Amino acid sequence: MDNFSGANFLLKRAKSRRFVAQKSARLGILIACLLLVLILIVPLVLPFSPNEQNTGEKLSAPTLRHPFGTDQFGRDVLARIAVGGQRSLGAAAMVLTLTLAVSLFLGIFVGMVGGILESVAMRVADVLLALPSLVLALAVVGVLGVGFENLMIALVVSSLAFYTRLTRSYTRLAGKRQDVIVARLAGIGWTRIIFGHILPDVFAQMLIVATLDLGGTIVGIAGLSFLGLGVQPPDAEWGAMLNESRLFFTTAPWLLLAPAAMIFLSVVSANLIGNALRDADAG
Amino acid sequence: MLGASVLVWLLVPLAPGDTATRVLQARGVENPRPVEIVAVREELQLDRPLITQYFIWLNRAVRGDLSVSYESGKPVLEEFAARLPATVLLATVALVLAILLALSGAVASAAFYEKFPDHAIQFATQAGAAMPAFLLALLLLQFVVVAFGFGNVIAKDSFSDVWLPAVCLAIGRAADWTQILRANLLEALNARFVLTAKARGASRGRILLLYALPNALLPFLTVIGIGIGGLLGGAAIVETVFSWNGIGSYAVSAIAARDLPVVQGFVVVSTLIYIVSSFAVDLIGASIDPRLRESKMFV
Repeated sequence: MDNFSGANFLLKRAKSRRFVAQKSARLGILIACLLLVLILIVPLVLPFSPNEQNTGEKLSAPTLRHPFGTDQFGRDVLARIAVGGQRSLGAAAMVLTLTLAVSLFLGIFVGMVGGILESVAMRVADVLLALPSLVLALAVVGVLGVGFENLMIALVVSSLAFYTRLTRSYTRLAGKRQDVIVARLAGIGWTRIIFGHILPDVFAQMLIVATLDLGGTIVGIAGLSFLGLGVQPPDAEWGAMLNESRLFFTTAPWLLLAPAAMIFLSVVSANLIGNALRDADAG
Repeated sequence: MLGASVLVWLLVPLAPGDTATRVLQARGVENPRPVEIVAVREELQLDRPLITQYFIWLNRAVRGDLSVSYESGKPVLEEFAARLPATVLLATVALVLAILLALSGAVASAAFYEKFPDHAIQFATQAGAAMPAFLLALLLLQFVVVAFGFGNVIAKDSFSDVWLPAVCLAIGRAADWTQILRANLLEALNARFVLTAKARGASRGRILLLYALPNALLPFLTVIGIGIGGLLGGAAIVETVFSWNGIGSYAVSAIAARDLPVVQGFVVVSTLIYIVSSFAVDLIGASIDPRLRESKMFV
């Protein structure tokens, strides 16, 4: 056991070194840190609140006082970008966490029980996979009604089938691993095998999948909000801000450029980190 | 397909709130009286068991009757048939554009592997993959249409206006596909038959285009089949930005108006397109590669 965990530790260290050794990984982390500072720390030091209207300063171009300018109600765009980012990125993280949690539970459960339950669950997943995921997400929003929570539920539902399928196949692979077989022979109970051997392995694999998906999820949230299916005014969210900016895009391009740059940067950063994680894991 | 039909049908009964009340509200009755609700329930056979309701719906759906829109009162199928050509035009142009971009990008990348053009293309694909279609659409509208007066802000569903929305729709796919095809090409270039061809004095261009490319294209075909689904979903967003009157923008406005039969119809139509087109891609694959013909494709 000692020997095994020692080898495991060395492998993990090699993988994390390979991750940090990649230029793209470091660039991705740098952008992510800058974005986090912007959305978490800036609102604390900024003298404006995101929904505070100031009719004297409507549609003002970027100045020292308002580095990203103001919008049609005189609200500070920087403050709205920061709070909107908390909402956009927070929602993306929430969607992926929920998807991961539910699919880990379902996939491991179904993979361990096997039999008819497994076949039925996989047929259901096949059916869900026959629908293009954005179409499915639109359908779920259509049923539940417009709103930010519903949008998040829609994104979870639309990616659940894919994740559950993957979790199940990783579970089956993990079930054939030597340490699992040895543990079974040693008479260790299923709960301990699942939580001690299978879950950590499957979780690590799925975490990489989820990171690779982060960019797509950010785009999904911003895209659906942009269509007006998510956050409702006056709350700020990057996609919704883009949508509002369309009315003023000839007179106030900064309203368009600020959220556009934020979405672009966060997706680039997520993609860079995800790809680097995958490459480090594959060796 | 049958499974998908159950799912699609479930959309309406699963929706929160009473269906009959919603239908009445959509027809303009703000506070429906109980008598009216009962009448609508009978009209739509909502008092039957769910299973029976499903078969009634399926029976009508396979005969092309997707019920009527709450909003306009017209048959949903008619509404979609009127808008489908616009979406098909947009998606086809985007698909061709994406394939051409991916092909040329990946071939150039592999030809100049690890040299400047390769790095430039790699950088461009990273940027393209991170640029959502709606963002690109807005930026293009802002800096191409408004600044240079090229094209129209409100597209008129015609062939001359299709380019801007199609480019927006194509870029994301093209970026993904270039990366995949480049990896396939590089792998094929390491194969033994390439070594043989080199030993027999084939030129670099000949090896790349006639030996490596055909072998790299086959897995690429599968990727395209899957990508068509993304194209359909993405079309909903791009169509809305460009006011392109296709099925996607229609569905988005139906969602905002809670016009459920239309949402249902949208899912049916896009799923059909998706299944038919991926089946067509499978058939193309089988006709190119004899190894796939005997497999369990038709199961």
